[in-house]
Amino acid sequence: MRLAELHNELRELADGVPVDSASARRRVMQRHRAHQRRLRLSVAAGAVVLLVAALTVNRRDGDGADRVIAGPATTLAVRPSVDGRMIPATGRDGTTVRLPITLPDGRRYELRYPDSIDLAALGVRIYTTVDWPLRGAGTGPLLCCSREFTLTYATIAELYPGAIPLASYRGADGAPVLLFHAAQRTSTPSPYTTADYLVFQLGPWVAEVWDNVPASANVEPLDEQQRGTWASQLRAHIDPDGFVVLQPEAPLHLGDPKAVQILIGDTYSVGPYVMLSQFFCGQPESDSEVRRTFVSGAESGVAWCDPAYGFHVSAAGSTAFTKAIADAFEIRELPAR
Amino acid sequence: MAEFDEFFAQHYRRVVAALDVALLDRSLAEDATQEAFLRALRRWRSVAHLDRPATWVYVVAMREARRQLNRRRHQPSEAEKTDAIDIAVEVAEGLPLREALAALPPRQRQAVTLRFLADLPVADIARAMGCRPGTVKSTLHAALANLRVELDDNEGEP
Repeated sequence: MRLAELHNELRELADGVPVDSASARRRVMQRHRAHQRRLRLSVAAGAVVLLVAALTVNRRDGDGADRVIAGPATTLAVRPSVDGRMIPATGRDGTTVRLPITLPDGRRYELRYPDSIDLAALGVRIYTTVDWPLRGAGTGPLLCCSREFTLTYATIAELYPGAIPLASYRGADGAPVLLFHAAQRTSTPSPYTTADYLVFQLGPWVAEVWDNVPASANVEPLDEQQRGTWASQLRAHIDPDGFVVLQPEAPLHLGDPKAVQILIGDTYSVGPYVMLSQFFCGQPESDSEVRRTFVSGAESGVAWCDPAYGFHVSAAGSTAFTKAIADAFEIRELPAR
Repeated sequence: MAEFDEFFAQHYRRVVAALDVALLDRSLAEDATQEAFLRALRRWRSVAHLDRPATWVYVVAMREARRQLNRRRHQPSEAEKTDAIDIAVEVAEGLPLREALAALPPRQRQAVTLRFLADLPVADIARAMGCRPGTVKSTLHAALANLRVELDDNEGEP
C-alpha cells in the first residue's frame, strides 16, 4: 500500500463512522449554559462561604493543628480558588517563591520557582487513588472497588447546585455522602461523563468517586453495601497548608503513591500549567532528567523527570513561562508532619 | 457564537471519526470530543485566535481520552493490556484497513490516525499522546511497517 492510499482509505473509514453532530452540539451547548449558571451560583455561594468563614474564624483553635473532618465543613473554605483549584499560600527566599504542597498520602514537598511567574495563582487540583482489593472465591482479585478520583477545591453545592441526590450514605462521623449522576453536575465530571458519583465533602475539598459507568467502560459498579463502605471508611483531614490528607480505613487503603498527580493550572486551557506525576518516569519512553523543551502551536513547553524524587514535571505556556520553569523550577522534600 | 457554531459544524464530525478509528471506542470518542469542544467554547476568544484551533481540539480530545483510559487502569481493557505489553505485531497483508488498524498496538493506531487522518504534525501528536516527538516518529515508522505501507523518501515525517 502506498501512503496516499493509506490517506484515502483512512478517510473512507472515517466517513463511514456515523456521527450525530446535531445532538452533540445540543449537549455541548447545554453543558456550556449549565457551566455559566454554575459560575453565577458560585459567585453567590462564594460570598456566603466567605461570610460564614469570617463569622467563624474567631472560633477556630488557631494552633495550626490538623483537624479531622469528614463531611460538610463549609466554614473551612477559607483559601481562594480558581475553577475548582486551590490557590495555595507561598513564602519567599529573595526572588524565589516557595510553594509547600501536601499530597493526599501526607508526603510533603516544596516547589521553588522564580517570582517572575505567579504559579500559585493558577491553582492546584489533585488526582489520587484509593484501593479496595477484593478476592473472589479462589479465583484471584476482583477489581470492582478500587477507585481513582479527583479532589476539587469546591463545595458540593457549587458542583451540584440544587441537585437532588440519587441516594445518601452515612459517611465517617455521620456526615452524609451523596450519590449524584454526572448529568446533575454543572461542569464536566472526571473521568466519566455519564456515570454516577459518590460525592464526599472533605473540608473545603470535594472527592468524586465514580460508579455505575457506561457498559463500554468495562469496569464493575459498586453494589449498595460497597457504596456504604466507601462512604463510611473514607476519612480525611485538612493540613495547615489547606491540602486534604486522606485517611481511609480498612478495607480501603491508599493507592499507589505514583498514581498521585498534581496539576497547577489547567492543561486544557490556552494558559500555562505545570503537572507533576511519578507515574511517567522510569519507563522506556520516559523523559530523562534533561529538561526537554518543545514548541507546539502557540505554546512552548518543557518536560523532564526529576532525578531526586522521580516526579515527571511537564509545563507549557508562554515562552517566558516555560523558560522560567526550565531554568529554575525545583522540588524539595519537606519533613512529614 | 456563530463563529463557534461554524467551527463545530466544520470539525466535530472529523474529530469524532478520527478518535473512533484511533481508539476503537465510539462512546469514548464522543465523550472526549464533546469535552474538547466544550472547553474550546469556554475559551473561544483564545482558541479562535490560535493558528490551528482544530488542532487544539484534536490534542485536547485525545488527551481527555487518554485521561479516561488511564482512569480505567485498575481493570484495563484488552486493548490496553496489549498496549502495556507492547508486543510486536505482524499485520497480515491484504487485510481490510479497519482490521489491520485494529490489530496494531493502540499507540501505533493512535499515531497513524492522528498523523494521516487528522493531519496533525508530529509535535502536536506528541502533545496529544504525552510522549516525545522522536517516539512519535518511531511509533509511526513501526505502524507503517506493520501496515505494509511503502514510504517514499521523507514521507510521513513533516
